[in-house]
Amino acid sequence: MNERFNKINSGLLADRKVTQLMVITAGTFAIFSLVSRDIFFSSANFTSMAYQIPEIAILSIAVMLSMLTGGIDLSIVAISNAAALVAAWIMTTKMGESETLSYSWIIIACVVGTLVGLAAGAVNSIIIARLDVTPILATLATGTLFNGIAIGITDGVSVSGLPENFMRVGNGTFLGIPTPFVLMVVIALAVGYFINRTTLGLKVFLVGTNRKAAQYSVMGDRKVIAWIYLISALLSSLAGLIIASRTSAASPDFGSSYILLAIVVVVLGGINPNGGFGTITGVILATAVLQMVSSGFNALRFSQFFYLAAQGAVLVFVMILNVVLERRRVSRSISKSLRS
Amino acid sequence: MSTLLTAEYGVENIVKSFGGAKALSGVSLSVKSGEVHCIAGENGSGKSTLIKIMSGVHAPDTGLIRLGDKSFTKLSPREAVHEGVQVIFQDFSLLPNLSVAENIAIPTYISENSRFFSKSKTKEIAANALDLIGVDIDINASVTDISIASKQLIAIARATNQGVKMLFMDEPTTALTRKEIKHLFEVVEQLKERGVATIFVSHKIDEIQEICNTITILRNGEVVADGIMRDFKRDSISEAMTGLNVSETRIAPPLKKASTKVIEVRNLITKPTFLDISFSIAPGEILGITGLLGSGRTELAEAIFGQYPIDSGEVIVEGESIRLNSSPAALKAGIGYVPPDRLTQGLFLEQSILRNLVAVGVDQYQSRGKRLSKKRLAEAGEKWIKDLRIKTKNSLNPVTSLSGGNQQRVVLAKWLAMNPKLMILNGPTVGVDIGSKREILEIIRDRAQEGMGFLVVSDDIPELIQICHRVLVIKNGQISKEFNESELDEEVLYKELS
Repeated sequence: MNERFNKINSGLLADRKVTQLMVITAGTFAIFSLVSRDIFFSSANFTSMAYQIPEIAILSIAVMLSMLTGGIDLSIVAISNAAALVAAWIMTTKMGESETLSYSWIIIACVVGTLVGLAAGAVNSIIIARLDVTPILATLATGTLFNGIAIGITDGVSVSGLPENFMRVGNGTFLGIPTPFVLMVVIALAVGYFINRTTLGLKVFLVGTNRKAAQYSVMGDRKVIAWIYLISALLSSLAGLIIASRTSAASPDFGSSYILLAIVVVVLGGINPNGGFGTITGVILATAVLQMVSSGFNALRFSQFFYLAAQGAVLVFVMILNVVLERRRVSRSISKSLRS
Repeated sequence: MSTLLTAEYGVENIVKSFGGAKALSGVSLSVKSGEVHCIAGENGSGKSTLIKIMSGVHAPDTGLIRLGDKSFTKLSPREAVHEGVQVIFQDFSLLPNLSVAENIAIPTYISENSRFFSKSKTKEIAANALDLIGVDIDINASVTDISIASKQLIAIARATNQGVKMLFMDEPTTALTRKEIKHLFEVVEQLKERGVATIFVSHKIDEIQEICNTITILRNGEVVADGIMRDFKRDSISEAMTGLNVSETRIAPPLKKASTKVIEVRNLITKPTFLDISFSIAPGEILGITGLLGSGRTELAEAIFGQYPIDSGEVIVEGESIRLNSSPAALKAGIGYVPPDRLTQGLFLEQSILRNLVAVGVDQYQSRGKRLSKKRLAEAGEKWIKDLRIKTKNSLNPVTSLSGGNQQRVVLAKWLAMNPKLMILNGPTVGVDIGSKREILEIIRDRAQEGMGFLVVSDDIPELIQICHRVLVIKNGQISKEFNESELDEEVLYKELS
């Protein structure tokens, strides 16, 4: 009996941050629903949120993965734009004057775009895992490089007017649910499976907790890190394609603010910036909270400038809460170990 | 400098709890000026809490701290320094980027509240301080470039310079050679003559007996014995510390004759760390390697495991030469390695005990399709917790919730799970209490009996004598002497070391 209680207790403790976030999510939802019953609490608003959440959620998942290893990927937006631009360029070139394009060419365009994204990710992997450059500096540099190449080639002009049947992915529904949202759920489940149910996933947590101990445990820490930046690039590319499909355009400077937003989401989602701890549920919930705050402010006709302040306030509050709770936990575990 | 009049320093009935758990329950002790007092006790006995209370880091729940003619119920670090309390921690708390002179003089500037800094004054202060304790060290040298023994002496000079009346020394001899220890003791004698009350925290019983006048033994936050050093024997000290009658008799199993070798190391060279090292280990044999800090003993262990570069040589495991400078190759050949520092090299501290237990062989726990089998993970966790008697209620608790001895068992289990042919243990019982140490040595013995070869690298001579079949002494990167089972003797080994 006692043993079972212990197990449940520690299980809850492990997901304490998620529980905390669920409460915050539910609270945010309740407050805005009550205050703005006709605009926020409406199916139109929910639908629009379901179209907006996936992009930032997928980019945040990418940042989460690098952060779990104790690093960070600042090149996600550059990679996302690069993949979208390549795909958009192939599509617009192939479709000529018509408004649609055959599905096989759309698929080819998406695959080539993703491959370009992966190539960019491979550059990150080599620089970080092989040459041991600090991730934050490496990806800041490569991000600037990728973005610069994109601007150079396109002269900074966006590629627009994508095929209609491609746009249907980003703007359509699947079984009544917005397609991007469905894609996000699929990606989140896949990444969740990867980090929780595969040996490589377990290694991600261990490498992120203590790289030195990982080296002494001969688990191929370099390989683990290399994989993570590749997967991060893959997710970024997919996010880029979804964005292009929703907005019918690709541009080298789209969503430059997304990188900071993604970091906010990840930290709010309870990922330890030093690596080793975090859940995908946390990231999804955090995205939802921030999107609700944004939509809620819109519904209440608050200024978007204040939305930024609110976002910052949420972040500051959560950080302080984390530090306070962590301190309590540490002092408790010290007393526990003394007692035993 | 006038000698202090006889003053007493100590605590009365100190109680200190951390969140409900008592770290100290009613501890009293007293040291007179000009006396060297020993605090002995295992990890977790309350030694460090006591030091922290007497130096003002922690406030006691109840009880009195007496420093000379003043009594405190609560003491701030600043007050403690003002009353002449100084602590020399194991890491000496020196500033590595500064010179010897600067390290010694800076506290003086701080206590004088001086805003200006003069090079000549700094040198003067430092030279005087070193003179006072009769030590000759180049004051212009950078602290990074000097030996550990010198660092310790600098820490002492720094303390005396601040008008030390009571000096704590926390495990001061861990990294010193015999000669250096002797020098340290001479300095301590000088402090004694000048009326400083010294408290010596150590677990090396022969050293305690040599230098200390009085002793207090702590166990589980209580004083279990105290008195004059002369009245204590070696056995009675260790018995009081553990509450057990732990003998230090040899437990090495009889070695069966074997024609094969688990490992053969031939002409290993990495200049300048080691020059031409060769040895071999038979199945079931426990080979000890010892040497002073910097002799190359740690590097040798790491080199065989591919974590320290090898220039040339050959490592042969069961007849097959393995690729050098590659940990994966070493692992594949059947070599396991428990690194010396479990906190930074051995454990994933905040992660669960279970994850730590399976960290080396993670890939073993996947079923088809690379899927991680949670069931097999849990089974393996349970098995190792039971086999090595790791004390925990729940394998999902973080590994930090374990005591040092249990943490060390987790690192050991992680490698035993790979069933290596040769296990390299670098400092297998560092920071582990006597009871746990005995159990860890027994685990080694049992595995050796099953045919696992062991290479035990340690500076703990009694431990090596207890467990090893053979001991090699390394000096300046070369094997200076080999001791067979019949030649193992503490005195002789110590002599060979220094």
